[in-house]
Amino acid sequence: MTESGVERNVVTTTVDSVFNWARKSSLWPMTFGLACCAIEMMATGASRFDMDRFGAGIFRPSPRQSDLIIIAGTVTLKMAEVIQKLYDQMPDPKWVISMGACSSVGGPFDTYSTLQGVDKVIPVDVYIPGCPPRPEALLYGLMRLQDKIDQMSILDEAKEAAG
Amino acid sequence: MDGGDREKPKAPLEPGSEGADASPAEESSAQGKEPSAKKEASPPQKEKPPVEKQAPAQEGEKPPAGKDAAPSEEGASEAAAAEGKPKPPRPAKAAAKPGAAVKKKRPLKKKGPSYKDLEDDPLAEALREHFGDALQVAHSFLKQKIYTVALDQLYDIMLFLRDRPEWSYDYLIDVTALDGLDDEKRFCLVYQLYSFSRLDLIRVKSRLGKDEVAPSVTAIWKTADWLEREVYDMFGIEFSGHPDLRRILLPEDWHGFPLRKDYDIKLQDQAWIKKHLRIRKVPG
Repeated sequence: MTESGVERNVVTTTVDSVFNWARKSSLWPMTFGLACCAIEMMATGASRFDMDRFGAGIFRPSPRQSDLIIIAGTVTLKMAEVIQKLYDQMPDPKWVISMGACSSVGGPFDTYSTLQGVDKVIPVDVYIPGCPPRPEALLYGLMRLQDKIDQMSILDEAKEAAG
Repeated sequence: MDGGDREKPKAPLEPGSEGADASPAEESSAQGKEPSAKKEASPPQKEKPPVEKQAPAQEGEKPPAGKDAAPSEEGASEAAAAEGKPKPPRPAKAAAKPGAAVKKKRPLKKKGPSYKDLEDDPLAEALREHFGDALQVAHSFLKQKIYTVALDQLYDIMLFLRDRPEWSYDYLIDVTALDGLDDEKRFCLVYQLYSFSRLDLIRVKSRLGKDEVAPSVTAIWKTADWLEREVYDMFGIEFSGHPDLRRILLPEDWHGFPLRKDYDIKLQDQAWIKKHLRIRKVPG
């Protein structure tokens, strides 16, 4: 009885790989663009490049429904305050992609008003170089993020939560 | 799309080629002459300028055709060379060039645009008539008219410019400022005015010292509200009579005015950052 049924109908796996597979396959980014990079981000979401192929095409208008924020553009100090607030409003687990030179290191704007890298206010998972990066670059960054998610472990999260 | 693109270059050609089928040929022959003249730079070319001079004279009937043909598909330099023929003033220069060698070209090129006093300008005369010495300077730069006026008469002059039907500058395009750090009067306000009925654009400037307060023109043009707020935000120039003078771009509790020349370009308000941002320690 068991010999005939179990092997063909039951898949064994780990909790981690199921969670990670689910998380990386339906990343919901936030609708959040700051400058010209946002144009490339929109192009990436549209039909020609179709970010939906990677399960990350449902741009949510609310941080409370998103688990990914793509910082697409120049971060001014005034906006940095907002980004912090938005990031805090996102439910865990959450990820950040820093798209382009401006959000990664300030780009050409080494000035009174510009934050020199969004990683000064929120933790960044993937940095994408470019000014602006091509949609292909954003898709590659997204895939690298998926690789990163694939290596997560629930035990690590529990440890982090415990402090 | 392709068809449309192809048609475009043809369009400017046709008016020229109609009247002057011969002119392209003349141009090409002229082009043949000029480069050779430049390369040789020798006595024989002296004979050529007269020939060039005669050419426009013979073409007497065709100068308009020549002008139309000039912006054709040929390279810009070739077009410029060809343009030289039909227009009367340029052949003279072309004739002068070969004789005057290369050295004399340089001062000609260095002569850039410059400020000139406005002469016989009706608006300058009207302003002098009504406001006397309040019009300090009236000059032009590349045909742009610029009027520098005294600060204490600025409001009245602006009202005059908008309300008089003969001027009717009904659109305030922009208000901005300059910071001449070492000048006696440090700042200079710059107003761009436009008249929709007369399609005329002017610039009004007014200098003011560090502690002086400018009159707000929000009562004259509503749009001055945000423009003056921007000037206040960036330069710290205050406007009396403004309904809501506060920062517009920078955060309201920011200290300093970034477009002042004594404000370091990279200076950020650390007190503001400390108060509003949680700066992380970046790993690595």
